[in-house]
Amino acid sequence: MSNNNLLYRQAQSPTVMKIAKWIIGIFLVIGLCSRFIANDMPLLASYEGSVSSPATVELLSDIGIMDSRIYNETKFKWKIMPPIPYSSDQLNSRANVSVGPLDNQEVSSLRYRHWLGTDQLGRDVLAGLVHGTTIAMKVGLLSVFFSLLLGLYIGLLGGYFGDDGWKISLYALLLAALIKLLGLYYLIYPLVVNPSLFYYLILVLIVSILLFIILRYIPASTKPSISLPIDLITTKIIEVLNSIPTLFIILALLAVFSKPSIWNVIIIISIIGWPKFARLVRAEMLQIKNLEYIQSAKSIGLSDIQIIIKHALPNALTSVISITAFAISGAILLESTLSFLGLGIPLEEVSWGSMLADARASFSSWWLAVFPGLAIFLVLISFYTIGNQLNEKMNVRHER
Amino acid sequence: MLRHIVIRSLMIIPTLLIVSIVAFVLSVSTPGDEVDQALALAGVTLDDDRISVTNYNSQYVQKAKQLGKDKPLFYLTIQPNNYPSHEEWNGVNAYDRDDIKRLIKSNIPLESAIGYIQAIGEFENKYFGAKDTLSADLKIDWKQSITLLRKPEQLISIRKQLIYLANEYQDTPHIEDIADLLTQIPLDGKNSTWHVPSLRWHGLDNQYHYWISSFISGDYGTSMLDAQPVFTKIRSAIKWTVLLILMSLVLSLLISIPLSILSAYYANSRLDRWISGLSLAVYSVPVFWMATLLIVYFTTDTYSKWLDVFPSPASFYSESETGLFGLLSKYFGRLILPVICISLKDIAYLTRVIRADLIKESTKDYATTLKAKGVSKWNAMWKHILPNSMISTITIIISNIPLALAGTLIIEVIFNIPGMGRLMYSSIIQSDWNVVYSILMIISLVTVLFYLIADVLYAFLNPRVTYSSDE
Repeated sequence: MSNNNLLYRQAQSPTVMKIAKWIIGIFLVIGLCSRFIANDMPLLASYEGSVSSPATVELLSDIGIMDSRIYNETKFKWKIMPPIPYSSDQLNSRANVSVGPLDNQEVSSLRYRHWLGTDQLGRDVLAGLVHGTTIAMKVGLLSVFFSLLLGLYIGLLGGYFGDDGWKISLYALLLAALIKLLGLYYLIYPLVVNPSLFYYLILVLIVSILLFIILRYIPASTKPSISLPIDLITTKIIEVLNSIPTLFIILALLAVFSKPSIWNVIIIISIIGWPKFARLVRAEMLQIKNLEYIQSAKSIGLSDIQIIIKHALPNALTSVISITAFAISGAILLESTLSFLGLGIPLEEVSWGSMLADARASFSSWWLAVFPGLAIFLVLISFYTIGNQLNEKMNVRHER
Repeated sequence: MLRHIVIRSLMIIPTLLIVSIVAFVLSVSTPGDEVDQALALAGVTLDDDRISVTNYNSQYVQKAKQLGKDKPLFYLTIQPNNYPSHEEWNGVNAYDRDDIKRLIKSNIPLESAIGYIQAIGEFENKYFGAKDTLSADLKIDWKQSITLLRKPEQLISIRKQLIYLANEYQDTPHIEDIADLLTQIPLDGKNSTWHVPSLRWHGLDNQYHYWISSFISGDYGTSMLDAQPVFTKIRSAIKWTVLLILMSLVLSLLISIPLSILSAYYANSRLDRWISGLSLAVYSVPVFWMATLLIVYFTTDTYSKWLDVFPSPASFYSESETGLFGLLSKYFGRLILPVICISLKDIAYLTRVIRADLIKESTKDYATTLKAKGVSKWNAMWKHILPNSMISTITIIISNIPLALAGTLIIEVIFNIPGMGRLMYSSIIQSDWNVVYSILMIISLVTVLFYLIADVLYAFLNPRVTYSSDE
């Protein structure tokens, strides 16, 4: 899971790269439009005299924009079904339970055939794969996005300020510590007690912004004397996180949540994943901050925040991109592992891992074992290929 | 050098302390009450009729004291002022605690909340405790209402509920008790002081301190499922994991070293490209998919009689106290598939890493000298370059072992091998938290130790590496 970027130092041929990019693109499109690809609701239909789109209504009502509406199947005058006319959790009422892709299927027409078979409950495997794509992409992209943000923030601070770059007076340090502690208390405690305190959160936000503004205008009574060892603190935290094997700490963290949900998995993978980014960004920053243009930016009196955000960050970002591909594939692998183990992802959600877990229960349904695994494999190998290529480009740039 | 080793070993301690705090915080925040689970194990439960509520309460207090759960959690605690301290929690069982917390959350002062919940408890005990005070129908009816009373979302609804009860059962002889309950209802939510944090220092007499000191002295507590010591469970599990890791290490080295030598010898040839392409493909195969495929095709005769080569993973392993070699000789056939699954990814990874090392090594000056001296390419590779590149390879292998633990977890679960990973998994499923967090601690200890060994060994094998004192 880690050290992926060590794996390859060999350029991929352009055709391989093209194929990998296409595979990722196709999976992304499937993940984004899964509702319109596999659904038991029609895309467009004439219902009670007017034309409506039940699939869109279902999507919008799940997001919470629209009220849900119940359609009577028999009342459609005409309807256009999605390419796969099944949804992932739709149980098949007919005799189509555990039928293979090559078996005789009792379906009304070729249009309703289960092209990749069904599982023990009669759910369509192809529809499940489409739904699994959504989950995998959601977990992979979002968790990497969050861990990227966290890793960038921590890595930039650690690398830019080092161990003696941030001088602060004792008085300001104590004040900051007190305010941080109180802030944590007022932020976390009410949330634990009552998570629906939206207005309270806004209040906390306003108060903290006000405090920030007020504190800026209070002059420090003493000269900055203590240097904060930011780099030491960040590297220590990274070391601690690295000393627990990923899967074990994730399982231990998941155990705390009593109700499984995809968001728990996303949050936990982000918490586990940020050190990769932080370490890389920190190393980059250590080099960048000594470059001439940063020094000259300092000399014309730009503030640290301005330098970091406007000048150092864009430079550090290019190296981050190459490990992002590895990080996404790692997150997708973790998600499918967790759903394979039946932890974290809700059991009623069909995902690639959960389909593979079903395959262990019925040996005769080979299609349950082959297709979801193939999907994971394709996504992983494509991301690895792209990651290697980016990595290679980075190395060439560095060597120049 | 020695100085570096000492400093590096001392740096383990703060890391492990932080890990232990994380593990402790997680173990405290898991759902379920440990004292209640321990009581259930001893056969004392709070039954639906609440007949034994007094008995349960006294047992609860006793057990909490015995397990040390009546102590504060940490050296210092920060909590809202209206929240009960550990002394005030003593004597209140887990179910009542949840109800009281719910009341506090809706801004009821602590004393009134405790008083109210305890009054309901007494009331229940009085009427449901004795068998013949109420008729069976009435009992069911009352029970439902009382359950609602214990979980009030809003005080107004409590009041309504009680008034309804009083009106409905005017003929019952105990109406004055309900009136008593009515007066107990805390309506005054004004003087709640959650916004004042109270910080308290508890000293060494706290749960974390006892937990970590007994952990250091080797006492991991007992399992909440079968009251077995956690230590025995882990000891019988760890040998399987060690066996699996050793076997897969041997297998992956046996395959990856020749492959990488071939690959480096014929660098950038078609063979090299094929080997690296193949290892990328193998690396991308999820372990659990490989395992599922192997199980589906090679352990049953569903597809062909000839494919039923390996024993089914569903059967159990007997818990015999034989050593590693005993296990190996007894279960060799059944361990083949799991070991293959674990090592495939390692083979792919190691082949790439060793190849890169070999190529890096062969561009160095001494390799050029060897070539100039007329040493054959094969001899140079085998006798000079390989031993030299082994330095970094050994380091990589050792620091890779902790990562292999994650792979063994899945494989142990899939193949039903009673190792550490499966113990962790099944303990999570069965909420046996003592085992889960002990394993977490042990695994991170092992990981840190392996990283230390890799680091020291690297310094030892490669004297050119210098360490500045402030490293």
